[in-house]
Amino acid sequence: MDLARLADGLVLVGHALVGRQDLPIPEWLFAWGASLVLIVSFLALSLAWRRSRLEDDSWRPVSARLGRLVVNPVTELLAGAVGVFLLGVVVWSGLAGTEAPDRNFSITFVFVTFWLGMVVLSVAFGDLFRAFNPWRAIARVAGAGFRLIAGQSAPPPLSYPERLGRWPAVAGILAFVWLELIYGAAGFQTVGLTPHTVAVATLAYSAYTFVGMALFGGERWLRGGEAFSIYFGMFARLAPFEVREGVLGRRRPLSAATSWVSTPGSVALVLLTIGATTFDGASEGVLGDPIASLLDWLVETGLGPVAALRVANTLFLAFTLAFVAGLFWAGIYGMHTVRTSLSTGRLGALFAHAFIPIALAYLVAHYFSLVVFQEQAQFTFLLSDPLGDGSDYFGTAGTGIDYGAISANAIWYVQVGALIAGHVTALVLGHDRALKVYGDARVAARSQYWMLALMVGFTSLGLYLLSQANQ
Amino acid sequence: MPPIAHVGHWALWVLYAIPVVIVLGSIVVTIARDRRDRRDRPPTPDPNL
Repeated sequence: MDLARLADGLVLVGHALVGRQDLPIPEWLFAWGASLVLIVSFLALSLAWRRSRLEDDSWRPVSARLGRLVVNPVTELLAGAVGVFLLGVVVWSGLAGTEAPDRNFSITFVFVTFWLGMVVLSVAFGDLFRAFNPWRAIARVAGAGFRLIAGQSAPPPLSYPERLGRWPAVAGILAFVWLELIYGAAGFQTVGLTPHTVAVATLAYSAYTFVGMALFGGERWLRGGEAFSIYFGMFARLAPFEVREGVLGRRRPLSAATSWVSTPGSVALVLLTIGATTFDGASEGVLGDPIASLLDWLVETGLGPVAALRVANTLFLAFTLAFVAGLFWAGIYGMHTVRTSLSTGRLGALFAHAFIPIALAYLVAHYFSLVVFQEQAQFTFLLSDPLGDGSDYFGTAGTGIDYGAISANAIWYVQVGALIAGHVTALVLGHDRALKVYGDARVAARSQYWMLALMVGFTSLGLYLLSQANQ
Repeated sequence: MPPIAHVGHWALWVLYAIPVVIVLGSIVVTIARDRRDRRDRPPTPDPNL
């Protein structure tokens, strides 16, 4: 079957919006340069970083005045109200607005501003999503209302099974990724993700979240089951700020990541984040032909074209996740060259937090251009005309996207820079943890040989995927 | 011969794999040398003797 027939009537979208670059050296030479930076960083860490510096709790409250200014009942109420309002706009624009995805507020808001923008904000300022989380805000108001009427708090009917850990959140993020990358799009082809679908999915997820909160308690569900709280919370661990019991404090950047991967499901979430971005990049380039071949075969066996495309993409997403997980566990297994009583599984849990910066680097490298261009739409015509029905609330409905705002070369340099910075940071976290686990600096460095190989592998893979997507 | 016909497409990944192969090779050589050194090192005399 010809793919062009399937593309009839489809909307073309791109996740990594890039043009052809005019680079002074070939793209593959950047991979060599990046690998050299990693090797030099590894040697420098081995020689100069000889005691663990990130494992201790370095949180200290900021000045009382600044703390009260940022975190107080009014700002909490405002942030919650903004979150609920935006949730309402997503549902409203999705249900009542145009079905053209590029002219409806909901699609860009959910998949760019919220999904990608909140990651950047989390890394810079800490767990901001907790303040803006609309489901938490609604649950708190409902809880307060119940206490007012009944005169007491009701304990949750069920206790959260501790062995579930963060697995419900992993399932939630997998469902979101599947909706975005498989149900809605395949490479540059969108086959079914309409604003209406986004609104219905948002309502369904809201209902699921409220049921989880009602059964296990609001705060407990936020710590294990609410997918976006866990996802953004993971990136917030890299940030220098944290609110503890209503007090704003600062801490050494990266230090909170060291205590993140102690709950079941955490390793899977980090790998899922890296794997999903890898698949999105690969489906636009290196996996394009294999997916098309499988799609043709599935259609020949009698499956409808859209169903065949989704099945083919689902299988390749599963393959990519397995590939990324395989690389990770091979690297972790390699640490056994240094004698240790720790099992491979335990070592995986001990070192998985080092991959959070890689997940961030992959997101930045892959989606930077999309954010730069789509956020222009978000804050101009989509804000002024959220339904795409010709409204102009803020006088910016006629503004378009300036695709010349950033050059293709600049995008490429940001991508390379993000990948290098992310992997060097990962080396730092891995080395620091190794110093704590093995005690001796020389043994710690030896244990990280395989981590270095993993970092070089992930950097080269990331740059290869980007270069292929740019073709 | 399709693989040769598409050599321009699939050969490119080799260039990206070279740094990984070099690092992996260096690790294997370093580990082997460490093990050989430990094996060949004469046993440390017992200080109590």
